[in-house]
Amino acid sequence: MAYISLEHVNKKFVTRRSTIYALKDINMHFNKGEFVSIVGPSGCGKSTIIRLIDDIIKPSSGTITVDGFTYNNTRPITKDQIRKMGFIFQVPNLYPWLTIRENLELPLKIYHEDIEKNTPHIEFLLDYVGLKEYADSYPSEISGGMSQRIGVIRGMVHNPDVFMMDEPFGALDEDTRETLNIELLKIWKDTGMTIIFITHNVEEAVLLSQRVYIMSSHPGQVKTEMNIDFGGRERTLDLITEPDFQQYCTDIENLIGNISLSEIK
Amino acid sequence: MTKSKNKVVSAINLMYPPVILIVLLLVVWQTVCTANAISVWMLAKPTDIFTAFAANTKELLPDIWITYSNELIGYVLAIVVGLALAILLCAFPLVGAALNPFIIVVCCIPMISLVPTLMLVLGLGRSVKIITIVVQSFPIICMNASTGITNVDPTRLELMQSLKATKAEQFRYCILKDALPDIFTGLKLGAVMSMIGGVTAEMTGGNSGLGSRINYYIGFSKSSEALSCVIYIILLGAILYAVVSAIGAHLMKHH
Amino acid sequence: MEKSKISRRIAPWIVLIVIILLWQWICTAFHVSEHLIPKPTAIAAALHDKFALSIWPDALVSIRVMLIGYVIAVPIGFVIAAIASQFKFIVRMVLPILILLMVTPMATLVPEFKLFLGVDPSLKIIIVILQVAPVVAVNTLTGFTYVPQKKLDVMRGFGCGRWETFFRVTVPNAMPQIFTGLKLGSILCTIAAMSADLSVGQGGLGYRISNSAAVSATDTAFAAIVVAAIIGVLFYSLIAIIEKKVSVWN
Repeated sequence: MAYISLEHVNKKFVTRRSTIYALKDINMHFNKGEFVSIVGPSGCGKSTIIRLIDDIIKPSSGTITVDGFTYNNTRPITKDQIRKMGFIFQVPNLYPWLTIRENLELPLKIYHEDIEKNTPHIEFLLDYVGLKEYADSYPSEISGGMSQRIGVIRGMVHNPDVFMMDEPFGALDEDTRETLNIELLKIWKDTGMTIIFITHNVEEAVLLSQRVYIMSSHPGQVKTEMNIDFGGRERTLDLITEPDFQQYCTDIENLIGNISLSEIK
Repeated sequence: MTKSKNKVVSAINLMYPPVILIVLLLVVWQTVCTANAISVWMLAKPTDIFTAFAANTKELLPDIWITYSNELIGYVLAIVVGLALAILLCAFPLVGAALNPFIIVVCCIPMISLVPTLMLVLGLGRSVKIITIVVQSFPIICMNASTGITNVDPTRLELMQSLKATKAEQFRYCILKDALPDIFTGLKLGAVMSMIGGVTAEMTGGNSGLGSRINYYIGFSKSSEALSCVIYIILLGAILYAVVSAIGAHLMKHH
Repeated sequence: MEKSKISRRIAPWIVLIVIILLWQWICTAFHVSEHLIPKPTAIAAALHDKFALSIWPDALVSIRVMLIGYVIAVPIGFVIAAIASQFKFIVRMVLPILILLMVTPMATLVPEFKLFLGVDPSLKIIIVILQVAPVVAVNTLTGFTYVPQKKLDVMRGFGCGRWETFFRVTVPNAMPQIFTGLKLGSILCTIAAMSADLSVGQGGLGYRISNSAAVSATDTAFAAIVVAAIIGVLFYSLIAIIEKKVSVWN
C-alpha cells in the first residue's frame, strides 16, 4: 500500500458567477522512500496538492491518506501526522527576527520538543550543509543560496518521513540551483525520505525523480505519470547530456506543450 | 568597550546636523531681537528664554511633574488599551467587522472636543487630562496595530500553518513580530496625539500643569517664562518619541 | 459566504444602534443629569434646533480654518521635503527637527501668538499650518529618501537631470507615503482646529462646545461634538477617496 495517497480529491473555489475547479478528481500515490516530481504549467494547482497533503488548506471533497491515517474536509489531520511531514517553501521563508539557530529551533518549539536534546541534531544538520559557522547570524546576513539550505534543513529538524517541496530552488540562480539539487539527492539517499517535489523545470524533475506526475491546467488534472529510470547510473549533472535523459525531457515537454496546444484549439 | 564607543559615535553622528541647524536658527533669532526689530514683550530673545528657563525650573517643578506624569500614565494606558483592542479585533473576526469601522472613525474624530463636557462630569483634576490623552491617542495606536496584524506576510504565516501552530503560537512567533513596524508607527503617532490631547486639556481648564502655566504667564505678558514652559513640553514630546523609536529600533534590529 | 459578508456589513450598524439605545437607557434609568450627559434624543433635538442658529455658522468657521490651513500646509510640507531630500546632509539636519515639530502641540503657542497678533482670525490658521505641515513633511520626506537606487540609475542613464528624475521617479514612488502624510495631516488638521478653537475662542466648533459646556447647555455641546466628528470623518474620507483614485496605477 502506498505511503501517501489522494483519492478523488477536488478543490473548487466558488465565486459569485461560477465555480472554478483548481483541482479536479486528483488520484495520486506516493510510496515510502520514493522521489516523485509534479510538473505542469503554471496555474495547474501543483502547489495546491502539497498544501492539501500538509493540511494547510482543506479539500472540497475526496480523501487523503498518510501512513494509514485518512483525513478530509471534515476530519482534520492530527499533530502526530503533521509531524511526519516537512514543508519547504519556494522562498527560504526564514523569520528575519530570529537567528539561523532560532529559526531551526522554531518547529521544535511548536512541537513542544526539548530544544536542548535536539541541539546536536541541529548542529549536525548545519554541518551537513556546511553552514555551522553561521548558526548565530541573522538571515539578512547570509546569501540566498545559504538561506534556502537553511530552509531545507529547517524542514528536517523534526525528522520527518516526507518532504514536500514547493519549487524550492526556483528563485535561485542556475549554478546554486544545480548545487542544491545534488545536495538534495544526497539528503534523499542518506535519509530515505519520501520526497514530493513541485517544479516547472522539466530537466530538474527528470534529474531528481523516480517518477513524474504531469498535470494539465483549467481545471488542474493529472494528465499522466511517467517513470524515470537510468538503470544503475548515478544521478549527477553528467546525466543531462545523455540521450535517454534528453528523451525523457522532450517527452515531458511535449506532454505539457500538447496540453497548451489543445487548449488553444 | 568598542561597542559602547561605537554607539556614542553613531549618536553624535545622528545628533550634530540638527543641532547645527537649531544653533543657526537661534543665532538668527537673537540677532533679529537685539536689532530691535521686535519689542521684548512680544518675542523673547533666546538668551532671555534660557535665563528664564534656568531660573524658573524650580518654580515650575510641580507643574512639570504633573504634566509629565499625566502624559506618561495616559500614554501607557492608551498603548495598553489600543494594543489590547487591536488583538481582540483581530482574534474575533466578527467583533473586528463590527468595531473596525468605528476605530477608523474614532481616529478622525477630534476627541479633544470632548474636553469641556468631560470637565463638567469629572471636574478639573488630573483624571480629565489622563482620559483625554487616552481617548485621543488609543485609536491611532489600535488602527495601526490591527493593520499590521491583518496584513501579516502570508508566506510567513503559512509556515506556522504547516507546523499546525495554534492561534496563540502563530501570534507569538509570527504575527506579533511581523506587525512590529506597524505597531511602532502607531505608537509614534500615538505619542503625537497624546501630547496634543494632554496639553489642550491643560490649557482648557484647571490650574495645574505646564499648559495652564502658559496661560498664566501670558496673562502677565511674561513671554520668556511662557516659552520656557513650551520648551519643557517640547522636551517631553521629544523624550516620548525618542524612547519609543529607540525601543522600536532595538526590537526590529533584524527586520 | 454571502451570509457572513452581509453580517459583516450590518455588524457595525447594529453596534452603533446598541450603543445609542444603551446610552439612552442608562441616562433614563439612572436619572443622569442632563447637564452632565444628555440623552441621545436630547442631542438630536439640540442638533435640530440649534443647527441653523449657532452650530452650522460655527462649523463653517472651523471648516474654513481647516481648509485654508490644510491647503497652505500641504505645499509647505511638500516643498520642505522636496528640497531636503536632494541632499543627504540636509535630510539628517531637518528630519529630527520636523519630528520635534510634529510632537509639539502647537496650541501651546496660541498665547504667545496672541501677544503678537492680538485676536487675529488668522491665528487659528497658523496653528493648523504649524501642526499639519511637519507631519506631511516627515512622511513625504521618508517616501522621498527610500527610492530604490536602481530606479534612479535608470533615469540617470537616460541623462535626466536632478529635478526630472525627482518628478518622474521619486514622486510616483513615494505616493503611498505622501498619502499617509496627507491622511495623517487631515486628522491632525481637525484636531488642531479644535484645540485652537478651545484655546483661542472667537467662534468655531470647539468654541461652541466649550461655550455651551460653560453655560451647562450640554446637549448643544454634544450636538457640536457630533458635527465635529462628522467633519473629521468626511475630511479623512475625502483624502482616502482621492488616494484610491490617484493610486490606481500604483
